[in-house]
Amino acid sequence: MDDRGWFFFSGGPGAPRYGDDPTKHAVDHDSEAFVREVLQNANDQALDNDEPVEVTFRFVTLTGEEKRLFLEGLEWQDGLRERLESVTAADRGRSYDRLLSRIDDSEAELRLLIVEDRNTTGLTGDWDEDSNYAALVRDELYSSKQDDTAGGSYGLGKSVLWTFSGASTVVFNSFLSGDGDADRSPRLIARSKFPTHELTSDDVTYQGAGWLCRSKDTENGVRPESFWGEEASELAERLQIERPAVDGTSALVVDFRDPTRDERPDLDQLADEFVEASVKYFWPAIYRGDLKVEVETPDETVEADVDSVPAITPFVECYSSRFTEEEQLENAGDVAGLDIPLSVPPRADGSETPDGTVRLAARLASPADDDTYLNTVALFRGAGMVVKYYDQSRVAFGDRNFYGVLAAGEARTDHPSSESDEEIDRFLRFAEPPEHDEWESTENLREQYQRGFRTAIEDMFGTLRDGLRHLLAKSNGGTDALSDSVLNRFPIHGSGAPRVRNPPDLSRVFEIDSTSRFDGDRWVFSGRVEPIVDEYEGWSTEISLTSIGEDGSRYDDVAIETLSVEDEDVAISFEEDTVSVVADSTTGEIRFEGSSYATNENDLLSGDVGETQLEIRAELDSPEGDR
Amino acid sequence: MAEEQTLYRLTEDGRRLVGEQFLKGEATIDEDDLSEHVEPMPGEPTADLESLDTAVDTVLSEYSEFETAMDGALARGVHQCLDITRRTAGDPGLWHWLAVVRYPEFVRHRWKYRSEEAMREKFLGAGSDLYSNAIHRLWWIAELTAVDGDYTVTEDVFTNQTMVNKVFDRWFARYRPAVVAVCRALSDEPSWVIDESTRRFNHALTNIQLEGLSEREAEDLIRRIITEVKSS
Repeated sequence: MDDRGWFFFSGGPGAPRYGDDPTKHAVDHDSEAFVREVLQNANDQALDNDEPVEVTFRFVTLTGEEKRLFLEGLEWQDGLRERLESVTAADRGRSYDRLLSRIDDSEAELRLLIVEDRNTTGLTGDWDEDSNYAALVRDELYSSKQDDTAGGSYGLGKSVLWTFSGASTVVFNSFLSGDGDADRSPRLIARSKFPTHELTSDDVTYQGAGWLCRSKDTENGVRPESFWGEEASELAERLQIERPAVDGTSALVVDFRDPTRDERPDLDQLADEFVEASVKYFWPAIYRGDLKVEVETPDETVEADVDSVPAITPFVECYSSRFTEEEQLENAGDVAGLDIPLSVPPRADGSETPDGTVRLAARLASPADDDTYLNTVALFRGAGMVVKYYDQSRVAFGDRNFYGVLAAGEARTDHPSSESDEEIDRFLRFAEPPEHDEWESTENLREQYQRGFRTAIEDMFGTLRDGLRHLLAKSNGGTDALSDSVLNRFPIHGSGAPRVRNPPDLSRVFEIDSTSRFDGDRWVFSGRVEPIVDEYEGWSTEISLTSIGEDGSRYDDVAIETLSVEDEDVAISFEEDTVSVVADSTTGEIRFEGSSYATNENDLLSGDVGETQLEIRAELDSPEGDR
Repeated sequence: MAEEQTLYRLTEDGRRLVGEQFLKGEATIDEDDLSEHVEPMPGEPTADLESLDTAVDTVLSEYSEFETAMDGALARGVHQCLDITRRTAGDPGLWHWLAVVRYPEFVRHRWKYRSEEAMREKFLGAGSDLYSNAIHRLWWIAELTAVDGDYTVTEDVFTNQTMVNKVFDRWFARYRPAVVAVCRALSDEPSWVIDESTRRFNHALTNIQLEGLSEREAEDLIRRIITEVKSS
């Protein structure tokens, strides 16, 4: 059998049944999220040749004869239409009513969006292997990406293409990089993601996934096979998805629509939103020359330039001057910066990882700046995508407003990355959840690294906040106790006594991990303290809770009522508001759980309950004396 | 009304002229050196400096050295004669000029020399720290406590130095509705109540957004806290 047309697997009795597209619910959908996901995918597929990835978003509207030819190329009448009607009739969570009537109305336009990326790997590989091609056209929730620095590691990104298609259908046309099948390019295939459906004509239940392809018999059963070469080129022309013969992929979203909106915004407005979203999330990649983005409508072409979005300009200025020697901010527009240490725990296989730093810089705001993202820190790593704008408005005060950047991993310097930059990039990539909008403790991190990953991230953010306070502190005369105590946490200034936890520097002798939360009427906390040096005669740790004020000043200690430790060989003593645990040389680690006294006040405005920090100090009796 | 005069600022380099001898009042700064480091304020704002001269002279003659009551006596005059925007007031150079060049006698009359560091702050503090430069603190505290030209709260605050210390060293002191509410509620309270209540208020603010509070709400909040503090 070698048959051209739409192919859907028919489900046997045991076949999975799909309702709506399972990946559709995973991420929030609006055009900003769409742009972010799509660019992230293109960015991750960059070829290793120092040329920038280029992405063009091209909006096309079809009417009349063009629309008819397009639908004919898509084999609309030979399979697709019937299936869409069947799904709509079965009422399985998805209705194609509006699309069907728009297709039938000869006056109505059909809106297409083509996402064309260039200088990327293209849809390489085969159906039956772990490949780009399989990841995109075969799998759900499965990722196959370039290397350790890639922006995504979950495979959710591609699903937005289908979510934004009113016909749940996307066409791909690709020129492949490398050897292999590259000289057979272009390669074309379309894929639909419908719910499971039946056709009245043959009374068979079909799975939701379908392909416009050549279906081929293989040893493993029928497989959808792409169109190649001349045949693909001809079809690409009819489907409005021709592309220059350079490595990369074009994806065409049939009936582009934003699922979060009832209205169909006009193309000029959509184009503006696309440019803004591109710059908002990818200005580091664009600025570093790793990415170029254009948005085309029938009327004009606009390049997403880092200067074109006023809300982002202050961040770009801040990043470009991040290695200034200034450590304090004086006048509007000034930039100052600090290195923030990050100690990456050993990898899960036991191999040691180098400690390194990430670069924090802040720019003092001026009244002339666009303040959309005022008092936030743009967090990003080598992928050049802003993971998020981290709100730090609590650190700003008076006229000291700012824009900050935290340039991590391979985005830290403009020079070739160091070993520690590369490790930090990898570490933070695994710290990103599927939405890539946070650095936090994740399952991926747990699989990739040994204990201490959560502390490493928390310490980095803690030092980031203190570092920002230092940068923003007044710069002349007087005493600045906060700023001085902050400086002690930066290894460059010597190892002063830490206020909270151990400083992540070379003299570190304990690994400390903890969590705390307010549980209805009291604080509960747990944690672990482990000496990480070989020789000691004994050690002790002190645990206390301190409530703090809005400006970070200390208020009162919160008394601890209970503390239990797994190990029975340690001595626990309660002294005023601090609990001490003393261990001897045979104890290698303690794990503890505890709680404060219940507050009899549930009123959040009484001043009785508020922000509280868990403080853990540990001290070692080493053969050479106390450390 | 007296003629308005241009305001100047001491440049950053000019601060280097301020040495220990000057801080102690044992030496003056050479006029020529000084003039090189004094420049008009950006935008050339003006103020009624003649009236301010008179107000300062009055305070110098009526109050003996280091008397804290002169703060309250002068704050209103400083604020009214220096009718400037907050942006202008945000420039530390202005306050350095006023303290170092224009009114050094006042600074020394008000503040006893205890250490070089402490005295340096009285002459060369300013910026985001409200409680620093001797003149800057008067202006800002008046700015944050005057209500439509009524300086009652300002005067109350200055009769109680604990209040000045405890309120204006806190970050919430940058938000006028909170300042006015806290000062009104605490003006007749003893020091220990002021101390504990402001610390507790500051802690309560970790649960709510300060700038979301109206003056009324801030006052309700601080009064409840005062009641609890006194009953505990």
